Amino acid sequence: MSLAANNLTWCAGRTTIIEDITFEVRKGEIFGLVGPNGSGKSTLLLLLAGLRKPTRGKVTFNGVNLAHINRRETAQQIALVAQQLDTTDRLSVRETVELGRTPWLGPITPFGEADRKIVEDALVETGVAHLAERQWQTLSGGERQRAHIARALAQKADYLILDEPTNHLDIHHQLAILALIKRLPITVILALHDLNQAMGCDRIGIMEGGRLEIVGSPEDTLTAERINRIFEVMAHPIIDPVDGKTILKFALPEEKKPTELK
Amino acid sequence: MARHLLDRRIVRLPVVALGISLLVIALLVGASIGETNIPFATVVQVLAIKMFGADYPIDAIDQGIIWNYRFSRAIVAASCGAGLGISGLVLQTLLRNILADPYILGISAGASTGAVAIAVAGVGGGAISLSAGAFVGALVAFVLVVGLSRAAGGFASNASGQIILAGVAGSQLFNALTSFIIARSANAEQARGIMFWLLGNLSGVRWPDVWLATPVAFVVFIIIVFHARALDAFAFGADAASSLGISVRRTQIILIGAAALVTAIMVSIVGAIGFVGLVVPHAARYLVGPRHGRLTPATALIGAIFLILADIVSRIVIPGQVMPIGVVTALVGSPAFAMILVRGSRGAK
Repeated sequence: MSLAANNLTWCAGRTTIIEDITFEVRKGEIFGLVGPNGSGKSTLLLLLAGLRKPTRGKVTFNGVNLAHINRRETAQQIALVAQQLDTTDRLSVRETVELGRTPWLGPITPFGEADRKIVEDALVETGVAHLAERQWQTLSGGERQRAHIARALAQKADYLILDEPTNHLDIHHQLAILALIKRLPITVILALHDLNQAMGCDRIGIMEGGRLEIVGSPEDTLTAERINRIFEVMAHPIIDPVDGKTILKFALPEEKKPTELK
Repeated sequence: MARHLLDRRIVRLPVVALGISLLVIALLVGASIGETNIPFATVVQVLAIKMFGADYPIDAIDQGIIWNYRFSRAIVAASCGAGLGISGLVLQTLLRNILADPYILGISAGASTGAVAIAVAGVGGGAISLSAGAFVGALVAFVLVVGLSRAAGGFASNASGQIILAGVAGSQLFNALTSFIIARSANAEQARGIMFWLLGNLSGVRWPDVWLATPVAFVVFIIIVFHARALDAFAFGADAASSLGISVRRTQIILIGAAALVTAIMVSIVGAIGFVGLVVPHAARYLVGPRHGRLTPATALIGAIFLILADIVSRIVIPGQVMPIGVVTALVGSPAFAMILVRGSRGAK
């Protein structure tokens, strides 16, 4: 079981968004994607979920080209929570989460007891069970995000792809979602902005300008030199006195003096 | 709380039975009211004679009026209302636009042009039927309108204003083409008849129209019900639907093709009736909520009943004269359009 990108390139018109990316996500790991805004993280996630056709190269799932697997089977294996998903329909949270069962239901299959149980569990796991009957439009950004994650969990896929799942969340829910992701017995691929949160991933990929710069453990890849080069900030590793783990503190590089600019 | 007027906890069967009873009553009322009002009991007796071979002493002229004119007309009105309603529902869901409707998007105008090109300009030399011409016209109009809105709004999935503006442009274009064809090819008598038909008119409807309108509405209804789960999955957009395992392109082609077909058939029989496709799905959503498994039958039922009633109003509002039914639906629909526009813009924030 593996999901892999092979020489993956994707262009929007003439602009190349993703260029020649090759890597493999291992079964059961938490794989983080980091990179500055516009580095191509979201597009790469859409390609991995099979929602965009590669311009060149391919995504393979267990060795099979994802483009040759039909949407329904793909959705049974890979769930995606994209960014900024919104609706004008007056759906309740429960109805939204129930959508996660779509790939498992035929046009006339009734929504069964087992489906109801899966939905209920997903609501509980993401901490939105008390909001189940609330209407979508009344939810805060964070509550919507958790409802979407619940919907993806109800999909019961082996692979979960999340585009910045901690966006819009307060610190408690950020940590709760990350803890939930760690608990899940599935493979998770997620884009993150917070490099300290990325430190909690099994492996990470660092993107810049549509290319994958490096893949490896967070400790090996998130070096001060690389962070400085890619994110244009100074990173200082600090040891947390509570658990002895390394955390990163960031600062803007000192402004260059006018004389140096000449 | 997301509570709809007819919540799922209320037992469903009586609601379905109630809806169908209302439809039957509307059909009977439609056959009873007209220039000469015929008592309800007589209507039921005539239907019993015609459908079950019952024996009642009823005047042959009354029998003819009820069976040949009014009842067939009420059934076509019902099919047309149901068809336009579900067509609007599909467009609203797939385009994610609360103002989408076959009339506003220019699909009805395209169908009119297609039908007029066949009937008046003689395109196809009699080999192509009026309905087929209307279907081609409807599809061309839809492709043109969507293409224009894409070109205007790039690929923004929420460019909801663009498609309505493109629909305005498309409607204008196809209405102009229709007028052009009429001016060029039709004589004065024909032109008057066509103009009346274009505003929506059930006057000439007879049984053969029933055999076209009702099966088409029914088949399209079944297709949409069969895709109810797929339509639900579009709630958060096409990408979200795709990630839920829906083949977006195939679903769009089948369902928009079905919506265009039912619109075209109805236009070829009764002309372009506006606002039914816009207003009816919203009324149905208000009653049963946004899930298409219930929303589609509710939309079809409400559309059917609404158009039977609109037809009755069009016949009795000016004594001795029939008003185009499109005028009635527009008089109800325009304020409803304004309301949806205002409420929609608030809801979007």
